[in-house]
Amino acid sequence: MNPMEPHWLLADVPMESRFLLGTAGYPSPDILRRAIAASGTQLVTLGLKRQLAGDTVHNGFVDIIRSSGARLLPNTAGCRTAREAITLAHMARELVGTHWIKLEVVGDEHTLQPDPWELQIAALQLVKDGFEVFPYCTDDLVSAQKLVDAGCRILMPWGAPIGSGQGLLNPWALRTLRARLPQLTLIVDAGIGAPSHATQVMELGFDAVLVNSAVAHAVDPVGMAEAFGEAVRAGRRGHVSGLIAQQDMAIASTPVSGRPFAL
Amino acid sequence: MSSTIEIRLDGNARVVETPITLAELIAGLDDVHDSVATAINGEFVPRHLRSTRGLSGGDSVTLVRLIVGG
Repeated sequence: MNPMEPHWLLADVPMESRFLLGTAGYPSPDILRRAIAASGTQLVTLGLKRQLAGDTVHNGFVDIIRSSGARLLPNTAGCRTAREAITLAHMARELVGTHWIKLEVVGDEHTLQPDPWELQIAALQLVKDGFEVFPYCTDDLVSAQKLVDAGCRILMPWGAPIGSGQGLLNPWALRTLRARLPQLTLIVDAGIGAPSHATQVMELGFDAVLVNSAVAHAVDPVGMAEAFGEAVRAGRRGHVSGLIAQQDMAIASTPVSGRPFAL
Repeated sequence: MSSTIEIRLDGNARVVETPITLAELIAGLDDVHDSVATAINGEFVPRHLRSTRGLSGGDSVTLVRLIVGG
């Protein structure tokens, strides 16, 4: 526990960890279980799938997730319209027993970027229906403000396309979101590839980071989960400790005056 | 004499005897995970209404379960 910040509030719930973990793509349920433990996360995401579509074997992953002790955040991955997402959110609420929903409405099948118009429509309705909406959005400020206007207290802007591992493609846009929406809970979700990316997110002053592929697909997912946990803590500690401003020119750090040898 | 209707179940055509409720449909399925949520024609049907919600020909029934996700 960081004595400087014993906890932060996520939708009015006190949390210690600022590292949120996705649960897809792990090699085995046991590795997922160990990765969750190693990460220190207190919130994991999960999805919903049609029962009769493909694999119906109860393979143990969901049991691991449910028994992890972490809060569950179901998502509406795969939805293309607001209507689909709204229906899936209600189904998720019944299955998981939470009013929290990670709202995803895909606008492009290759980039998997959100459809900002459908996202706003869905967010508006789900807030009315009593959900705490965590919208997965782009880093566009105006679109983000529309989600705030719809009643969202939390935003999850992307760093880069889902699973791409590219890190923060547009730090300026993320800095702008932080500066223009100071009271909002901001969590970077998607595109994180390395612990250093997560540190960068936290140094920007974001409230948390959500990572899935970079951990699940790592050579050592458990080790990577631990690394990300440390990276998030380091970034947050750096942010609250006060980063120095970047300068174009050098500023000598060693307090010499003049030249050491006069010839 | 019972009659039959054709519905779509998770995208697949299925002939069922009528009358039939959503709860009866689920109860008659093999290997259905016991934790599913349901929708008919894109509208969520809460668990407590399944036993009273009858199915009509052409209905599209969706069952979803929890899976891993990011």
